[in-house]
Amino acid sequence: MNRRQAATAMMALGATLALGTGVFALYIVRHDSAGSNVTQPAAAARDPHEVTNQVIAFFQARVERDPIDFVSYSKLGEAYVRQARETGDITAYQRAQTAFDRALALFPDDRSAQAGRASVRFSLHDFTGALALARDVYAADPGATSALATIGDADLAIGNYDEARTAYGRLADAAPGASVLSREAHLDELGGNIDRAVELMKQTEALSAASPVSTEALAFYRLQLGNLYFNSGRYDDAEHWLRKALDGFPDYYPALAGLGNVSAARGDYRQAIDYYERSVAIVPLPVVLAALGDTYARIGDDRAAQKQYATVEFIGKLAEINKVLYNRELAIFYADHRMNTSTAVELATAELDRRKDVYGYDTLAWALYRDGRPRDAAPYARQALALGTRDAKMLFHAGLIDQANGDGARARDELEQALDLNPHFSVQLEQEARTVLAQIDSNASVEGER
Amino acid sequence: MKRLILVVVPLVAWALLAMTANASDHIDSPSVTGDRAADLSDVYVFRSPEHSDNVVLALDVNGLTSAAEPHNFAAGVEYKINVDTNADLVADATVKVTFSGDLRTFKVEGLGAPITGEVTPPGSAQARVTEANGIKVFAGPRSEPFFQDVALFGWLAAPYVLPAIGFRRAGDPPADFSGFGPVSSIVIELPITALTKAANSNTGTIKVWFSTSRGGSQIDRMAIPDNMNFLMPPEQKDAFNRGEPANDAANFRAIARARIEHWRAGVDAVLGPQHGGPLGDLTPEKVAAALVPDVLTIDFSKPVQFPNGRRLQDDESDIELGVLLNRGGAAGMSDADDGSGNKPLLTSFPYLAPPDTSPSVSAAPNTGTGGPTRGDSNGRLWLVLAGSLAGVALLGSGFVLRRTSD
Repeated sequence: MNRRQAATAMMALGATLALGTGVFALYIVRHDSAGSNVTQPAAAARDPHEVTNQVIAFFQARVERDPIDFVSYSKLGEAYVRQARETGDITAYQRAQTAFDRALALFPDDRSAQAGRASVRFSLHDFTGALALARDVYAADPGATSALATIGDADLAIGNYDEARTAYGRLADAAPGASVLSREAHLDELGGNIDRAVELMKQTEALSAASPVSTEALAFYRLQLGNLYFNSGRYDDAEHWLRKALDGFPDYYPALAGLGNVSAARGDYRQAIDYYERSVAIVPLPVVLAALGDTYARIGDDRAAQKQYATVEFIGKLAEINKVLYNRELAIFYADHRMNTSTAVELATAELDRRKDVYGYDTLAWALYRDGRPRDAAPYARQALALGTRDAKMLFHAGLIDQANGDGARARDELEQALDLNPHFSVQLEQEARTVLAQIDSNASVEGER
Repeated sequence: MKRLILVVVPLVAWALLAMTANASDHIDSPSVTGDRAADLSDVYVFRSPEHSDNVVLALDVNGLTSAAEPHNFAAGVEYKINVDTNADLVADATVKVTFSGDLRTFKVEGLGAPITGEVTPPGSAQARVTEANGIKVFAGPRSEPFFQDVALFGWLAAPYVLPAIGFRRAGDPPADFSGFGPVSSIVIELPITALTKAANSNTGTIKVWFSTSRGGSQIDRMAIPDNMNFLMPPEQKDAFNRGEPANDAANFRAIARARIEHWRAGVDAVLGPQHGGPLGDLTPEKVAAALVPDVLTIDFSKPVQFPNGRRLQDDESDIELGVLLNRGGAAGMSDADDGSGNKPLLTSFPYLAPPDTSPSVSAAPNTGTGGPTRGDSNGRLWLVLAGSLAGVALLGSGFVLRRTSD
């Protein structure tokens, strides 16, 4: 090869190399960011726990880097609250509290941290404390809608229904959307207007499914709708929404428990046990443990039933915080199973002292009745039904109490309502309702024959 | 300006009971989210770096997020840019941006025929730009452009000793708003004369403010950065967010003046009294009159930079501090954050930097899988460019060799 040929070869090679690498360089630049081929991440496809853990890790890293970053402390608190909602882990609330306290120590006027602190108090059942804190925030800043929500929620929990309605009304004006609709639906349910509650929850669910809310929030709204259907005896609809609640959140333990209720209502006890077991494996809530025990009892496995009952008591007394959270459930559990009835009355009395809501009255009424004091129970049963709540268990309790006090007609009416509303409201107690109803009818017919 | 007191996310209790179809004895509903996507975190108005006859209007929402989750605009919210051309504080033109229910498309109205285009989805760094009738529009995620030492808010309430420069105690590490997740930005570029109705792009004055509303009800508004945080006490913030420039002087000017006096007194107590700063006799009254009503005034016959408009790179924190406190020069106050920690801005539309999508920040499972990461691609790029250079060198040498071999 002579110089000229070599030169041409060099030029050819050089041109190819330059052109080729130039094109390749362009390719790299165009696809430089890994995001160029990213499609919109589907929120439902990601494990909600993973997302929340990442949010926590992000803000944790920020506060470690900068100990005076109160903005990040506040957001860390919010992330812990979210974790608590998703996992049922109470200690996450306590971590949230610490984070909010740190934010406020650095910047006392941080509204988000103040409102967050109020909401954590609420979660840990310090309703009066939560109310006081939330009122302070709202008074200082009428735009603090999250504090307004806590005011409504705390008022509702304590039984201040008018105040709760007012707060939610203001909230609906200030921050219309799914979370306020959900609250209004709950108020409707308390007032006995189940159909309207269902309508509102359908709207809520549709709104949330279409717009970005957290996976847990969407699951919650579906759960709320599913439970409304169950409480009014519509088991197929209940199942549909409870299953949807598990979409993208397969270990959403309240939905698993709800499906247990549906299965039991259909007489599919083994399936119910399976759902309940899965639910308590995630979070051993006393009310689910009790339902699990009752279902074991129903199929004749008394040993397994007793094991669950023992766990209910164990958890109920486990820690100071548990006593605050679960006293009402424990009282109901004792009353349902006719055990420790005087303790049940004590617990229910203390609870009513703290919270004069309709369920507080109902719990004491039921405990007194089971303790052999139907006359004492009567006024509390009346109070429980004062809002017109259509709740099969409350109606059942009132029916038994009225029957024991000799008011057969009213008792019959209440028991019928209960069974019409939700024929399988309790694996353990529905039979008792039917038996007493039958007794009333046979007494009536005997009297009629006279 | 950072919306510090966001009505964001504080969650309402989840009771660990009552989720079963039982006595649902207290409310467990999820948080009131406070409409983060309608909460303006920053707004900008600046002459286009690419085309000097154009102006760029930009607004950001979804500030202060963690980047672990994608955020987006919200359907049902109207994002508005209000333009007053005759200085009566009433909008003469309103640009309105709305989003489809699935958040995939936007619509811009108020600039002639409506313009529709694709939203750049959350998690995507590749900007989708819509061009129509000489107007460019972008809506999607961008790297947070704001910069300010977080402590600047803290000093307003916390008992820091104020050094002459910067707001931290000696030894405190600085921290600013970089590192937060991407904001959701709407960026619109259009001819200046389309807004001013003037003869050319170097004349005419407009006043601009941004707002968001839902169902006709205003949720938030913003123009001069940090106005709400610096000038409004906590109990006024909500009213301010729902306010309008035409009423600002009557509603808020006296409050703003009192607030400025409050800050100056606080700083004087620490640094000693200040007399006649670099801005002359800038009394609290004059400052309040300049900052209220809350509008960005842009006089196109002068350089467009804060406070005459606002560019992405303007250090509004330092400028505001100087104005608020009238302490400049040797005793100049600064939050010591000049934005160098932020991602570099782009020289072309949409100017705001693309969001960081590296795996350590974004957790979306489809980043970093398949495509190169930023670090990898930079390395490869250098290698490839070296190859290109070698190729060119070879070509050149070959050429010379050929010439000389004749």
